[in-house]
Amino acid sequence: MKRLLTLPFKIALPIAMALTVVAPSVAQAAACCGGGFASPTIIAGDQASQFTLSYGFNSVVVDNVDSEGYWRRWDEHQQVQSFRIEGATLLSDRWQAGLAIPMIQRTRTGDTHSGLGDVAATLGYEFLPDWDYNPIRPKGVGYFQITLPTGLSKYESETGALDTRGNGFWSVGLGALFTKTFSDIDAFTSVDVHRSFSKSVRTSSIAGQLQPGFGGNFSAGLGYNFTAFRIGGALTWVVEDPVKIVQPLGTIDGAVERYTTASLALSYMKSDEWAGTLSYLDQTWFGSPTNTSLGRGLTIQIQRRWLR
Amino acid sequence: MKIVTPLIAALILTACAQEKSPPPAKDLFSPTNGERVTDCSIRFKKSGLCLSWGWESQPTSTAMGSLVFKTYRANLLDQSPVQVDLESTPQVILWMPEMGHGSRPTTVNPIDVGTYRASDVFFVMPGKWEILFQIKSGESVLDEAVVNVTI
Repeated sequence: MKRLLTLPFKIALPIAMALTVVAPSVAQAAACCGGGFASPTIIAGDQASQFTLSYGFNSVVVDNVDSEGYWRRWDEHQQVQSFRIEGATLLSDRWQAGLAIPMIQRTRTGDTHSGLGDVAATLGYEFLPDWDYNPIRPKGVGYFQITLPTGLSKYESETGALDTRGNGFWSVGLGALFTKTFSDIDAFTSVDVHRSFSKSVRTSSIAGQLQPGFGGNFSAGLGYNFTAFRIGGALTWVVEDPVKIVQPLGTIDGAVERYTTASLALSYMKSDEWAGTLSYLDQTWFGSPTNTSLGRGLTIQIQRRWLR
Repeated sequence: MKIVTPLIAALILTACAQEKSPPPAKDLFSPTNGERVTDCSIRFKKSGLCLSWGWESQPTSTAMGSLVFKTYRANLLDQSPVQVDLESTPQVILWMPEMGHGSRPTTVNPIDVGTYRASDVFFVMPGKWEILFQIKSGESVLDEAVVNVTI
């Protein structure tokens, strides 16, 4: 079984561009307070390594959607800026590894907090190769991801979650990403399930044990490719189990968090080595959000690739 | 059936979000909310003490507010509330139980027998909040009373 080393440009371009767009759509966390699950850093094209820089600006537009589905807005909103460094490389023909390091800054009414978010490491395996460019069968990459609690969580915050930068839990996840190109159209879908682990917490507000559970992401998207450009759209559904807070005087049960992020993206592939993407993300368009904040934002991403 | 199931799933997943407007908040910003509750219906969980509270200055989306609360024990003869000092100055915590986070720390000072003022009260977002009145010994919470408010 020998991989084709030279990929026709007409096929390589849509695949590479599609995956440039996958990352920001999956990465979009709940607007207000961190949470969610770090997006996987995966090589799904035909490159040996890739390095990605992305900058995102997100503004909360619905401050709170409660467990009954009521949307509440205030005139002062939190704004989130993120800077993300990602790298991934092949370890062998089918194995790969990736690392993502996010920096998060939150601002509200002149009060600003920033710092390191949750660092995530990914180990992927191409379990469904597309070496013969089958017209029907997609390419599939499965992955295992471990997320480090390097970002402060909302449970530990002393500022009303303005200084939160991540989930704050050790967590592991399993997922799969499928991609397929049909002429000028590309499509992808990804799914992951993750489990976060308990930890103790002591702040001026709470003292006890945080007991998170499972969570999941499901994404799907389409794109149209012409010359060196791609326009595309994607939807990402996110659901997280309640996080129980067990304290001596009683337990706070928490509530399920759910939201959907829609993204529209324009990509430009300067060459096989360089690509850039501008994405618009909106969490108010789709789904039935609950127990979350909703935001809108822009993400700019530049990616450098090294071909096989 | 092979087509219907995925079609229904796709339609559900891609359904547009519908904004649901909340009922008018009646716990905080309506004119009657400044009234103090003095029926001692808000009870601490363990000690049997109770409290009444009311807004002195209501917080807004940009400004901090303050509240005054009084603590009572039950009269030994007829169980009527008798104002009583706590052993230590209690703490007032603002907590959003569904979202799993609090707000900024408040400051509590005694102003008379069994009477306290909590200032720097600020809710970082609208929604369902709890005001936790906590009696602490060091970092341990000995007892607490909980008031639910919707902002």
